[in-house]
Parts: sequence; structure tokens; C-alpha cells
Amino acid sequence: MKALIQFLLSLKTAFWLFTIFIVIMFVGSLSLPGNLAFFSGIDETPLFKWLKAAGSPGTTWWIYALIIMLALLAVSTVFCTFEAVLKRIAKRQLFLKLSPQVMHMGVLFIMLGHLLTASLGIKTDVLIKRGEEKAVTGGSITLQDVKVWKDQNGYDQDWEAKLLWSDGKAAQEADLRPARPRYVGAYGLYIKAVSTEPDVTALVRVCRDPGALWALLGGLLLSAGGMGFIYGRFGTE
Amino acid sequence: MFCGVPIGEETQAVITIFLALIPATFYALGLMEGKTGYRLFLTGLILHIASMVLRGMTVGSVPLTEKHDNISFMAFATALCYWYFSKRKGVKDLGLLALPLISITLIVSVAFSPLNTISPFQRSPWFYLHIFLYFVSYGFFGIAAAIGLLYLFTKKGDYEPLQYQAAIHGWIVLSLSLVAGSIWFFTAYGTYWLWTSKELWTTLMWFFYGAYLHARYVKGLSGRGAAILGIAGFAVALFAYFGVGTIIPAPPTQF
Repeated sequence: MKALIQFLLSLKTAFWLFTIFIVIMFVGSLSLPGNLAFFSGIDETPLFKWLKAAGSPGTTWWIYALIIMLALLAVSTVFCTFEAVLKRIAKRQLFLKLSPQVMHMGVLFIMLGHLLTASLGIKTDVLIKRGEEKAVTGGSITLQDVKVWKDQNGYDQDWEAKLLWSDGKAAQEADLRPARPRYVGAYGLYIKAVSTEPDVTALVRVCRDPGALWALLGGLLLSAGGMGFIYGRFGTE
Repeated sequence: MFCGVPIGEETQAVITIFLALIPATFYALGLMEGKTGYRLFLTGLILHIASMVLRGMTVGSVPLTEKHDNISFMAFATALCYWYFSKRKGVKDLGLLALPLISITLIVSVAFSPLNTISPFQRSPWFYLHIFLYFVSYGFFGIAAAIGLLYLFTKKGDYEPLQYQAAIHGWIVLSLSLVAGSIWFFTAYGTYWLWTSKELWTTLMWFFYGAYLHARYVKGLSGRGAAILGIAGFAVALFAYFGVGTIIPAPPTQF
């Protein structure tokens, strides 16, 4: 047991895990564009659901390998962080001293976010006409209207879709614009594209992403730890 | 259009070339010795700022949304990092490697035609923050590699820790950029990760520098080996930006 803990605490272990992870990711970056048709739906479905549908891991082996490496890196990070926190907990300027561990915790939360997204996330794209009501996961949406603003060359500069969202009990209006989604309960409503000819239509994405908040928390911890590290190490120079 | 004035495409291309070549020339002239070289470098920096302001007036936004402007800003960030490490940290002869790197980067930006339209999905402060920080990190990585090369050539012991310092600043700025990028992407498309060659290589770069900095931080690796790893990191970073899409195909992303 002691040998296993020493193995997990060792920087050599972390370094080799990093190296293997990088090599697998390199192989994946070559495999992905070579099998475009096969991987075309990977971003439209939660990862684990997509992997299950993809069947035997002939082409997807490197994704499984990445997941295994990330899990091992997570375990190694937990052990290293725990040990460092115990060593430094009695010192002054605790946050600055612990900033690398805060960063590690951030990375762990990001991994947790990805795990939750990949296993429990929901993504649905719906093409809907004006006046039409369509059932989606969690409720239904009705497209009320679409507005498009064009630039002087006639290109679409911005657009807005007015929706009515209903969860079966209550309805509420949602105005969607690019990069300005609307969150209703656990669901996010996003506008992907609109058209005014021949019919007024909108392509709406409905998502539920239980991992996003964990990933955001991880990102904030990573950022705060990173800035604390730079300040603590170089700020006084 | 140029700064609100309607002009032809050819005229715009000529203006774009001049706006890059003039500061690039002054950066290169910064190689001259003493105060003259320093003043010429500063002139290049001021002219570069002026050219970015003109681009901003033309696109009606912060000029960071497409490749021409990205590469120009990458050169600018590298110039600022060079100024900091040569003047504040006293890395002598850094200009011998950094100034040609800055000039060449700026000239490379001319190879990409500037676009004057911005997708509505990009009109988000998170997007601008993401791109800004991303290329600042490239500035740090470029200077880290230059200091690493200087260390290998001169064997001055205090250069290798400075290479590490530049690389860790770059890595943390890159981390902040990826966080901002994830927030932007989530607000735009409802997801914070995509399985594309671009994302894989950006993550690979982050892990590569992560491995280097971990090895260096706990002093398991130092000197020549650490310097070479830091230089290799910049090669990975350059490939992540220039190689993906040219050598490795980057499929058009369908969100």
C-alpha cells in the first residue's frame, strides 16, 4: 500500500502520465481528420452516449485511452494535492503557498465537469417554423418571430428569435441572440441560425449540461491559483 | 472600406502590406547597437499600435477576430515581452533572436487577407478576452524559446530560470485564455469542448507546457534539458496554430 501511495505521489509517475497523454492526443489529432465521416456526430451528442453508439473501439480506442489517462492523472493529482496541503497548512499566506494546489483542484473540477457532461448532458437541435410548437426535452418551444439585421453589403449582421418556452406548467418568453442564450431552469436555449426565406425558421439548440457549472468552478480555481502562483513567486521581484 | 472610407480591394491589400511592413522594418532595425537600436524598436512598437488602431477603426471593433489580426497581435505581444525581458530582466542579446522573430511574424500576417466582417457569435467580451490572452501567451512562449536558445549558445546560468519564468507566465495566461474561451463557447453554442484537431492540439500544447513546468518546478529537470523542452514547447505552440489547418486538416466546425 505504501509503495502504491509513493508511486502515486511521485513526480515521475505524473510526468510519464503527461507524456503518454500527449502521445495519445497526438495520435488522436491525426486519426480524427482521417475519419471525418465517422466522427461527424461526436459534438452533437454527449460523449459516452456517442461512444456507446459508435460500437467496438476500433477507431475510438484513443478516446478510451485518453479517458483512462485522465482518470489516472486525476488520481495522481488528488494524492499530490492532499500531501502538499497537509505539509503547508500551518504556514502564513496560505493561499499563495497553496496556489499550485488550488490550480490542481481547478483541473480536477474541470475533469469532473467533463465527466458529468459526457455522461448526463443533453443536446437537441430543433428546426422550427414561425408559429409552430415543438416538443423538446424538458418542455416545448414555440417560435413567435425572427428579426434579422443586415450590414451594408447585405450580409446577416445579427439576428434575434423570439420563443415561447413551456415546461407544461408555465410558459415564458425567451429572446435569443447569438452568444446570448437564455437559461430556463436546468435548460439552456441557444440560437444557431435563422432564415426568413422561403419560411421564417430558426435552428434552436436546447441543452442541459450538468457538468458546466463544475467546469466553470474549476476554471475559476485554475485562474485564481495561477494568478496567486505568479504573484507569490514573481510578484515581489 | 478602410476607416469608414470606401476603397477597392487592391488598395486595401496595399495599405495592409504597408501597415505591416513599416513596423516590421523598424523592429528589424532595432538590431542596431545601443540607444539607436532601442529607439528604432520603440518606433516600431508605436507604429504597430497605430496600425492596429487603424485596423480597429476599419472593422469597427477590437481587431482580434481573424487570422491576419491575430498574427499581427501575436507579434505585438512578443514585442512587449521582449521589451520586458531585455530591459527589465537584463537579458542581453535577446534582440538577436527576438527581433527577427517579431518582424517575421508581422510579415507572415500579410499572407492572410484581412476580413472586415465579424460573426455575431464573436461579438462577446469573452471571445475577445480569450483571443487577447491566447496570443499574449504566444508572446511569452516565443520569448521563452528565444531565451532558451540564448542559454544554449551562451551557457549563461541565469538565462534558463528566466526562460522558465517566461514560460510559466505564458502557461498561466494560456490557462486563463482557455477558461475565457470555454465560457464564450458555452454562451455561444451550449458546449465548452469540441472534438476537432484544433482543440486537441491546443490541449496538447497546454499539457506539453504543463509537463515541462512540472518537471522544472520541482527541480527534477534543469539546465540544458529544461531549455530544450521549453524550446520544443514553442514548436508545439506554433504547430497548434499554423500546422493545424495546413499540415493536419482542420475540418470546418459544425456547431
